[in-house]
Parts: sequence; structure tokens; C-alpha cells
Amino acid sequence: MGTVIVGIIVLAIAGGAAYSLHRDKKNGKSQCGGDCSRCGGHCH
Amino acid sequence: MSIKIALAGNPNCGKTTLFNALTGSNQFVGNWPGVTVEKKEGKLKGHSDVTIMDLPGIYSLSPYTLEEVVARNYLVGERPDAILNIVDGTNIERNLYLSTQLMELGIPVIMAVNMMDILEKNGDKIHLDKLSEKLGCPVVAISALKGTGIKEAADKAVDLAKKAATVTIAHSFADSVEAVISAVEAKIGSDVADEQKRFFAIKLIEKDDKIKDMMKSVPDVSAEVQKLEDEFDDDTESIITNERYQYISSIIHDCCTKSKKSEGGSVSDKIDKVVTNRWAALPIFAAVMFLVYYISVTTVGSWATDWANDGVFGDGWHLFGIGTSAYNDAADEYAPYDAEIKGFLEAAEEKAPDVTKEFTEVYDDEDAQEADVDAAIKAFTSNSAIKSLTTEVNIAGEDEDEELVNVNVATFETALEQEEPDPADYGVWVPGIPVLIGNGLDAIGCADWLSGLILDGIVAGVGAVLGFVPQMLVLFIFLAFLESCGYMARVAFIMDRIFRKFGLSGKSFIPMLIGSGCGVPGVMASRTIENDRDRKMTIMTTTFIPCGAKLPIIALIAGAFFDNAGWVAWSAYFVGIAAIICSGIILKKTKMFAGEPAPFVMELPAYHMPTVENVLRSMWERGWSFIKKAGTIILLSTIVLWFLMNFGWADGSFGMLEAEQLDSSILAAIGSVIAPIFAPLGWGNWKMAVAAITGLIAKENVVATFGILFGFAEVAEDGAEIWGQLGASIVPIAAYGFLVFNLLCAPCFAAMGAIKREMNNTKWFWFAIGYQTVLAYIVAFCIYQIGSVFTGNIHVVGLIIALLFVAGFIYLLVRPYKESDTLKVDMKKKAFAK
Amino acid sequence: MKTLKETACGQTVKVKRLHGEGPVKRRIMDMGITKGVDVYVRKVAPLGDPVEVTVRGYELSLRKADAEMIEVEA
Repeated sequence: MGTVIVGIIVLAIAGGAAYSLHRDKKNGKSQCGGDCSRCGGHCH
Repeated sequence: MSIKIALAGNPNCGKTTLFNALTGSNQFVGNWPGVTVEKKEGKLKGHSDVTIMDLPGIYSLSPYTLEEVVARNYLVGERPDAILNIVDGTNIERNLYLSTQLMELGIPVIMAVNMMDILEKNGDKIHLDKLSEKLGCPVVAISALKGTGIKEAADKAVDLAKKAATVTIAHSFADSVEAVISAVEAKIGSDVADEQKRFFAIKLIEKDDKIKDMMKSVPDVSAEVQKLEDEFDDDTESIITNERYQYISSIIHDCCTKSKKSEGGSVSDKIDKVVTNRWAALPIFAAVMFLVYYISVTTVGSWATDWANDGVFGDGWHLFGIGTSAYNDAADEYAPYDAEIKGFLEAAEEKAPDVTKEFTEVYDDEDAQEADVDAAIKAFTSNSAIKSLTTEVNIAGEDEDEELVNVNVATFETALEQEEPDPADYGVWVPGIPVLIGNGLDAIGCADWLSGLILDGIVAGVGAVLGFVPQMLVLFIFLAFLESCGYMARVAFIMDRIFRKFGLSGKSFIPMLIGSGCGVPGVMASRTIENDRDRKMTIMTTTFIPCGAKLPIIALIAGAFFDNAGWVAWSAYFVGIAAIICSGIILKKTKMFAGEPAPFVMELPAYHMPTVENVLRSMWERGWSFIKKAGTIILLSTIVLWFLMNFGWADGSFGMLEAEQLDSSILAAIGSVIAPIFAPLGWGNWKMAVAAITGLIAKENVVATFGILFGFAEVAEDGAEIWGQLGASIVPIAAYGFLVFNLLCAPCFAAMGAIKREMNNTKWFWFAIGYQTVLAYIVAFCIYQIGSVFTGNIHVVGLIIALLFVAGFIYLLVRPYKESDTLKVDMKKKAFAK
Repeated sequence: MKTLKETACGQTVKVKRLHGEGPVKRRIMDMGITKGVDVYVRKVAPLGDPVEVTVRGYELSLRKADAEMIEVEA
């Protein structure tokens, strides 16, 4: 029983991660931490 | 009725800040069709029918750079209803140069003078009303950063747009020039709107070669041009430019009052005197970077990482160090007994290996019941061979002297009875995360395989990466500080000479700088380079600089193989720079890239003390994205990896594997196929190969993969540290080669995506990736082969090939070349067909 | 013919004429270096290139090669 609960939790976390990646891609958020619309390439 | 307002101004005048303030999040960012110039438009906050178009920052409406052409094509072709011209008040003359050109377009202009607050601080004044009178357009003051005046500016712009009044141009040039302009205007046909005629006329006079694309019938103005050139003894472009500036100078006098602040005495200048000094600048830069990396990676870094890896993600740690000294004392007391036990067991193994093995299996088993352990001890010590065994063991005394102590069965038994101190009993002990999770999973009755996935897969992998967060944060603080105080702009200035030697301008340095945080914005920053070839070259080489994600790899190699020596991290940074410079030299000498270096005309902002808030925010932004990446991409990668590691073909069938069967797993199988490719580099085992491949997804994965692969092995072997395992698998010189390979080869998917977007051309993209990877391979190869000579491990064939590579490399670097002379700007003409 | 390239650090000169042609020349002019303007040479970078000048109230960096195109008088 414990296995099932933990398993579901793991799947949820993994799913959340995948979804978050997908959503970021759609919004054009890059890996730099900001979003590209404000970037202008001059992160500092 | 929807209204279009265009934002135009010099680069760095605060346009983007203003744009963000005016549109909030109602922005859409894309590219102008056919070119890699960013196109930003958004809706004005509070006015649903007003669109604001942020044009690229430009100095003039000449036909020479992509940004300028894009901007003017938009202004002429799309005819926005009004232009909001942002002018940097601290730089007003040059900014007005663009303004005069904008006003010739026949579109209503409202000028917003930015940075008024800085002006006031300096004691300078601009008389906006006089300016407005002379220029013939409304002028308002704003501070885009502070947010003052922007609403008024926007409202005025909307008003202007709605009124759609005809524009009267207030500025004028010398009489003879004006006469010629009128003459040319008369010649222009009706395909050009009346209010635009002046703009077109002037461009024709300037012999602008792109203006013809925007006209249906092009009149012949050579006579007029000749007349002017004869009169002024100069080419028409210069004539017109001169006229503009003359006009500006004439009105500036009335409109601006400068304070009497001294010329060369500001703090910025004083700092610059030292920092950009002819001889000291480069060594200072090298020293600064060394210091930065030394502090973040070697000192704070290794302390923080040890705590993270052995503590938080290991067995545990003492909160604020409470209890550490008490524990250490107890451990010291116990040490001699420990030595006796170990020494005795060693001797026992030689004398009676089987019996000893039976004993140690039970003794070392953490899960064994106490009764079983006692029974095992009894059985062991009553064995005849063991009973009569004595040996001598070296024990370090209190004063660090080593004394030889006699150990027999009795001593052994006494030693066994001593309790090994458990750090958890001293002070405030915080168990490591794996311990906590492990206990939790046990308590809940989770199946072994799932526990394995979580602990040995996810926690091991993600934990390995997160362990580097403290180091990253320290590094990010430093970088943020250096960048926002203005030092890095100076470095571009300093590096320009070196860069120019191989045909790139100092401007190419900026993307490198940004790339030291993350390669993606670094690649995108190459947009500021006008010359197409230079830009491509910059895009290709920007990712050589170690980005934030590569830092854990550097730190890992430094820690596991080089005892955290400071030079490792710092050398990685300079290997990157060297790779960029050498690539530049070599490529510039090939026909593909040869060309005149772009003019290096760059503004140097004054130094200013960055606010703590800004630095921390920048650090946090980058740090957070790092952590987020760990929780997403890396998390998923570790899960996939774990499955690949735990399933394979063993004993003839496919199924889940035991810890020792790692080499039979699917992952090992895939890895073994790839591994031989890397054998000449000194790391041809499948684990390293797999790690390098996972680095393509995200560079941190290399560390995560190692965490899983070598941590996993911890279970199978004798509890040796993960990094110790790694350290034992290949020789240090190969490890350094591995590091260099990962630094230089193709970057992560995100960066590759950026490269592809900026290149806008699949062929070039693959060329870039291929170049990077091949270079990485060759350099790592040479490092290993030649380096091995010094460690006494010579491979003849490899060495010869490596030396040939080096020779070839040197040849490519020094061979002569001929530069071509023209600067060509190519742009798809059909993009703006009317 | 004296050009900006030969101008020593700390001197102020007046631009007499611009030589050369094309985008580089245009760019230099766009930035404010035109006939008759005063240019103050602030410093020369290590290795001699580029040169930092003050023109029309702000600082600019120019390559020595570009500076060569700018004819000046004291």
C-alpha cells in the first residue's frame, strides 16, 4: 500500500516537472531565469 | 480606430524600460520577418486600441545595419500614427541626431527626455520649452526607471496620434542645401506621400542605396548631388550629417546649460585610470577572475559543497556546528580501537580468509540483528586460527606519534566492545535528506525498487546537482556585481585589441560575458553585432565560456581529481576564452569568414555602485532558475537514467538488476557502444561516455549522472565516497581532458535552440555544433595524449597524432591571410514590399 | 596631415575632415564626429587600441584604424 502512495507521489512530481517544462517552452521562457521578452540580451 | 505608436531612440536610452512600463505584460515578442532582429509590440496599458511598437535601438536611419533598415522600413511602410522619441538627456546631442531624422518622416513626433534625474544630479539643465520651440514638437521629461512622466508622455502621444495634424518641420539646413532638397522633392513622384518627400529627398541626396527599394520610380538626382559635392568639397552623406549636427549645436546652446563640473576628475575616470591602464589592465582582469573563481569554487565552494554532499545529501550534519567538536573528541578517542580492529582483521584475512569473510559479512551488515552480530563475534574469536593470531598495528598517539601496538584476540575483543561514537548523539544533528527519506519510505512500507528509484535515482542525481547551489550563488553574486558596476564594459574595451587581431570587435566580448551566466542570452546578445559574419562567428563561439551549468562539472572535477585546487576552475574560464580567440583567428582566415572587422564604436557607461538589491536580485534570478532546472529537467533525466541502469540482460534474461550487475544494464550497453569513441581521450569507459551524453540535455546532468552511477556503486562496494569512486576510475589528466571536452562541445539543448534561432539557417546550425564538438574532441585528445607524457604513460600512436594536430593548429593560427574590404548587409527585400 | 590616431592622450583637437567611405565612416559621423567638432582624447587602451574620446558630451571608443580616418587640427 505504501508503495502505491509513494508511487503516485513520484508520478505526480515527475508529471509536474514535465508540465512545467512544457509550459515554459510555450511562454518562451529561457533557462536564464528571465523571460526573453524582457531580455534584450543584456542580462545585467 | 486602432492607433499605432512607435517607440524610437538610441540604444541604452531607456526605451525598453519605458516599453515595459507602458505595456506591462501585454507584450508580444517575435522577430521581424526574414531577419533576426527582435520585434516587440504591445498594447498600451489602459488603452485597448493603442498598439506600441518598440523599434530596435538605432543611432540613425542610415541603410547600414539591420536594425536601422528594419526601423525605417517600418516607419515609412507602416506609417505609425505617432512616434514617441526617447532621448537620453545625458547624451542629448547625439540623441537629437536621430530625432531630426525621425521628424523628417512626416509623422507626428513627441520627444521624451529620459534620465532627467541624473541630469539634475550632475547640475545640468535642459530647457524643455525652448527645445520644443526649436524642434517644433512637444517635449516632456521622463524618468523611465523611476516611472515619472511616462503616463503623461503616453497620453500626449495618443493625443498627437488622434489629432493627426500635419507636421511642420522646424529644423533646416544651410540655404544651398535646402534649395537642393526642394529641387529633389519636386522630382519625386506621387508614389511618395507629401509629408514623406523630404525624407526621401534627403536619402536620395545621401546616395542611400536602399531607399530605391521603397520607391516606384526613382528620379535621377546626380546633378543635384554633384552640385552639392562641388560646393562643399565633400560627399553628400557627410554634408548632410554635418548639417544636422551644426543645426543641433546651434540650438543646444540655448536649450541646455551645463554645470561647471570638471572634465577628468570624476570617480569613474579615476578608477579607469588604473583599470584600463596600458600595462596593468590585462593582469588585473586575470587577477579579478581568478579571485572570483577562487573564492566561489575553492574556498566557500568546497566548504559548502562538502556540507551539501556529505551532510545534507549524505548522512547528516550538525546544525551550526553544535556538537561537532564534542563528536570529534569522541571520535579521536575511539580512533585507536578502530585501528586495532582494522589491523587485526587485515592480518586475519591473510591467515584465514574464509573465516574472516564470514565474520565481516555479518559485522559490516548494517541491518544485522545484534544477536547475530554477537554470535558471529563469538564464532570468529573462538576459531583456532584466529585465537592464536597476533599482529602489530600502527596507532597514532595523542602527540601524533605512531606507536606499534600488539594486538591479539583479547585486545580485538575489547576493541569491539567499544562503542563507535555516533555523531547523531552529539549536539544538534540534522539527518541527511537521504536518511530522512529512507526512514520515511521504510516506515510507510514502500517497495524496495521504488525506494531505489527515489533514493538512488532521484535523490542521488538531483542532490548531486543541488549540492553545488551554494557555490553557484557565490559566483553569481560576484558576476552580478562586476557586470552592474560597469567593469565588464571596460573589459570589452581592453579585449578589443586582442579581438581585433583576429577580426572580431570587442563587441563580441559582451555575449561571452553574458554567457558566463547562461549561454542562451549570451547567444542572443550577438544581435548587437551588425556584421553578419562576425555575428555568426560570435554565435558559434559564445558557448565556449563556462556557463553556470558547467560550473558544477568544473567543481566536481576539481574536487574529485585535483583536491579542489584553485587553478582548475580559473583555467576552465581561460580555456574558454582561448578557444574563442583561437577559433576566431582560425576561422577568420578561411574564406567563409574573412572580412573587415566591424567598427568598434562603443559607449562606455560611467561606473556606478550597484545597489545591493539589484545584485541580490540578479543572483537570485539565476540561482532560482538553476534550482528550478534541477527540479525539472534533471529530475526527469534521473528517473529515465535510473530505469536504464536498473534493467538489463543478466543471467540470460531481461529484468531488474542487482547493484553489482550495473555493467549489464541497458545504460551500460548503450554506453559501451559509445565509449570506444572516447577511449583515445583517456575516458573510454561507459559511465563517463553516458555522463557526457546526458550533458546535452542540460550540462548539470553530467554531475547528476555521476551522482547516480557512482553513488549507486556505493551500495555494491565498500561504502567508499562517491567522488572517491569517480576519482579512482580514470587518471587526473584524462579527467581534465573530460572537463575540457564538456566545456567546449555542443551546449545543452536550450542553448542549441538559441543558436539555431539566431543562425536562422539549419546548415549553419549544424556547422556550429559540428565545429564545437570536433574542436572539443581534438583538444581533449591532445590534452590527454600529450599530458600523459608527463605522467609517464605514453601511447606512441596517440602521441604522434596529437602532435600532428597541434602542429596543424599552430599552422592555422599563423598563416597569412588577406582581408576583404567591403561590409555587406544583406536583407530580404520582399519583407517590406508595400 | 594629422589624424586622431596621432593625437596624444589629454589633448583636445578639432575635426577638420573625415576620410574613408562607406558604413564605417557613416557610423563615425552618426556618433557625432563631424567637421568642426571638438574631440578630447581621454585615454588609450592597453596595447594601444582602441582609443577613448569625449565628443559632444559623452564617451566613445574608437579603433586606431578608424581614428586614422579623422583628420584633425589642434
